[in-house]
Amino acid sequence: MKQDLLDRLNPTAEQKARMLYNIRGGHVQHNWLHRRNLVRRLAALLCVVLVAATSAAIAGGTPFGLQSSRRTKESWSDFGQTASYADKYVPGMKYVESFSTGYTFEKGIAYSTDVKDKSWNTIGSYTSIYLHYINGSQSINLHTETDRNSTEPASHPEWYRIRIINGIPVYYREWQTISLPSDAQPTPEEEKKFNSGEININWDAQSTSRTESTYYFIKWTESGIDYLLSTYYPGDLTEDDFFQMAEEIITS
Amino acid sequence: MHAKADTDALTALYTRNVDAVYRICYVYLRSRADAEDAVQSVFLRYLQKQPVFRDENHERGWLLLTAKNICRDMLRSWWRRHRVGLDELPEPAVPMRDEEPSELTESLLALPEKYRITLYLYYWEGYPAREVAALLGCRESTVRTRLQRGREMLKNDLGGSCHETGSFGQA
Repeated sequence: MKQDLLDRLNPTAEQKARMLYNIRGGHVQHNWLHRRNLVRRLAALLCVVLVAATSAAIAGGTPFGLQSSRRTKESWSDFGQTASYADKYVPGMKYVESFSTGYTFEKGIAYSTDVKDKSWNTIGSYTSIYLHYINGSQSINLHTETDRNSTEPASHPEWYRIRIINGIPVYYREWQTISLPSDAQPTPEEEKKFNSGEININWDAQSTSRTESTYYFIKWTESGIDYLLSTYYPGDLTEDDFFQMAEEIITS
Repeated sequence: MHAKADTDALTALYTRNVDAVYRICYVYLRSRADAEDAVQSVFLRYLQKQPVFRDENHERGWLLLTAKNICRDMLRSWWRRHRVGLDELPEPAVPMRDEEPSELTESLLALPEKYRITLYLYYWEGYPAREVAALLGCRESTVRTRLQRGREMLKNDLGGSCHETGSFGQA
């Protein structure tokens, strides 16, 4: 019986061949990237990935826990196109082309996500819009999507600094983040804090040792739309600057 | 010469472990396409890191721990969305196996993650509770509690037909 069950879960011969082919291809590509010394590009990519990974625990408040079947619907680099994508996917969302802190729009991406229930049936889908802003070598990201009734930060107000802007509660947080190599285990204390949302943990493909960093973000909900402005590398941005940028979007 | 030796070593390691790594990825992710992605990431990290193993058990443990961490990263909703967005890759065609999953397999896959993974490693992969605890980063007593609760949930789901011994073919 046990062997029968294992057989049912095993990959097919075609899958095994395809995965091995891709692994070998990936290995070649990996070496090539190192020869061409594109570490800086990888670091920039890693930064984006880490922001995306970290955002998970902030917005992952679906009723049944898991989501899948994500796909990029559209991406654009002309700010003038943002309005049509916003109308199409997150109607009513607010945004700006640039902030008084010096950050300006670089690109936008629309993502679609299917929501799954416990039995992995698709019970709905929604689209998010992600706007990327840059200021020299620094970057910051604005993510917007229709409100999915996340219980945070109301359940943990002690983790946030809160201001009211135009009658809207706006929550700012500096979130301790630990990046571990992909084969590392967090301590039991860290695991406990991770599960409660007190700290964040990333398992990082590029990392060979444990590193600690801070994820800076500010979030609010207005007219049924969730907003999240975030970065790992705030440069000179202060807490006041984050609130200022939030205000610029709210009053836009 | 070196390149060929590396390729042969990778192929041997892959052949020894791909089934077990794929299975745990599938039990975590419950999607064949996502499990394929995760398996590829696991072996790529092996290639990047080139760890030295004491024996095949150590090797298998490292790969399963890496698979667990990769799957946990993938299960984060935003991560999953953005990862695909960054790669811009077309979805590969994934042939399904001829046979449908058994009722027991389906019930296992429907359990909450902490019970699903613990039961899987203990009963399907045959790891003792102590090693399951090490892989999952929790205490052995926690593993035993999860095994007990998971068995009860499976039993309820299967209408009382799943007994502690026998149905899993072990324990």
